[in-house]
Amino acid sequence: MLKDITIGQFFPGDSIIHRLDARMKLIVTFAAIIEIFVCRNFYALALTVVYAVAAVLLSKIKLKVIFRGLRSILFIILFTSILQIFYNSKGDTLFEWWKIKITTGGLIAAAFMVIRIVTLILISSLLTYTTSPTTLTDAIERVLSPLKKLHVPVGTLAMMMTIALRFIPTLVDEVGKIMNAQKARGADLDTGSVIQRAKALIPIFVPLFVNSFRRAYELAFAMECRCYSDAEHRTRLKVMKLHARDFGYLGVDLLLLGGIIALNILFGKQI
Amino acid sequence: MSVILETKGIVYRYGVGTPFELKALDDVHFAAEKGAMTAIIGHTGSGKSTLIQHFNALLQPEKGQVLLSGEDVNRDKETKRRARFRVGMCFQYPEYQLFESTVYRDICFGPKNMGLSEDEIRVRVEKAAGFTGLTKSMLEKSPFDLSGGERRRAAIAGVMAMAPEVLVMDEPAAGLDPKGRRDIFRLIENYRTSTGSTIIIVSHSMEDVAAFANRVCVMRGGRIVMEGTVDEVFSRYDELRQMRLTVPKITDVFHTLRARGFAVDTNVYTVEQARDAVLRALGKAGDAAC
Repeated sequence: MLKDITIGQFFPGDSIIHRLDARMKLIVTFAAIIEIFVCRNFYALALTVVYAVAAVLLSKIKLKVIFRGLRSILFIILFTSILQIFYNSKGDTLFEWWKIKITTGGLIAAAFMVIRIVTLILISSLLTYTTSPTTLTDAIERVLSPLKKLHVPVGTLAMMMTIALRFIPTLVDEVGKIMNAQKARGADLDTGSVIQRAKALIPIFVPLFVNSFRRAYELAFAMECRCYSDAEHRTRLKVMKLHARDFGYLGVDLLLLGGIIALNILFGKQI
Repeated sequence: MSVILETKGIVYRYGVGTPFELKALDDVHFAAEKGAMTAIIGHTGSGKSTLIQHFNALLQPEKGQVLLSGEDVNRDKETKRRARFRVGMCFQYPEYQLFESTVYRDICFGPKNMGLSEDEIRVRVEKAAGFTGLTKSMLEKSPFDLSGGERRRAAIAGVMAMAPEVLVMDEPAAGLDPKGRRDIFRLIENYRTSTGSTIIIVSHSMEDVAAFANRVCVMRGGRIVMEGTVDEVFSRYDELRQMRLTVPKITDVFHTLRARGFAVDTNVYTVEQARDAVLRALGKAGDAAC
């Protein structure tokens, strides 16, 4: 169950995508997500699909992993596309019954939406697949560092994110242990009505929260003992450097943007 | 004596089909005698915790069987559920599983899941509190207001209140001071002798194992490599040392004495035995001097 959720996971590797500077990856991914929504027709959308597929292939992430990630959001994809079918009433009517009307426009819109979401997931999950969580938070901190001028505590926020990510495996482990302990005392987590099942979670969540608070106190204490403060001018163990390939990546993305705009103008609005 | 719980050639792997696949148990044949205290020792990662999780069907073996009074615990849902109640399991640091508003209610959790009547539950809780030395006033407190040692005992009481025929404890004395450790072992021993329950204990403390266990089982790399009485296992001093497992400190002392030329017995595992061995050695030495 938990094992199937691959979105947000990191898969170590040594592909060109893995080696790109995390800051550039972050910015380009963000730009690409916006570009997906700029697309106004299937030709432009096809271009983003080509871009996403090329990036996936270059990353050398197993396709099995990528499909598993998509499967976990299958419900969202289906739900939005069904909404599109009923919401859009342009084009010829194919089927009509009571208040339900399916039109060609609706089907096209649904197909467009499915492709859009899948591309979106591909591009955004590729970022986390190929970037370790710590590098990613580091990159976020640096990309956001201009905000420091506006007194936004960027360093502190980044530290909070790092800590949160760091404790996910610890908490997963702990949930497993507590579940085993309560199961050993006869807790029944799998049967009964919804309310019974919700109630059955109390013996799991109470210790989990109590232990999390305990850990938080311990960590805060340990950080204080090491004189941690969010003072400026902290130096880094790993200094990020931009290479030619990073600018190349940015160039590809700009080309994609140019292509989308050109195709938008050339073929007009389809959706 | 008869065997109450046994495993027949069980195999268990973690993360099957991933790069992290690990064979945690490899053809394990384990048996616990009814009413005895069996200790399982071994290094971290030797498979001890994986093994004990098979005893109450929390894990199902890939191969082999787990038999409780001769019945396969993994046969169906009913046998699994029965195993949960017949085999009480107390994990490492059990105090972190407490969740109720009072200690009393927390100890009730297990018996309630068994579907016992209110009266029966009250009797059980009082009995368990007696074994673990929890006072009436402690039972009314929130578990989070107790001290670490008290919380540990409250959690143990929660398992004892289910009156399991087999009580499995993973490092029940971990993180306690020497006195707290002895107290825990004493209360477990007292529980065993007065209820006739079978105890299976995982421990790193060889002194306590030597003093309290009837049988010892040594695990290594997912297999049981030695099995026998305290004397049979700890007398294989060199082999244990090779596995980088310790023996009771006092045994070390007597082996060193022997190596330095003193004519002492080396099958000494507790301080009492040490006293007798020294007296015996001195007596012999005295005779020789006469």
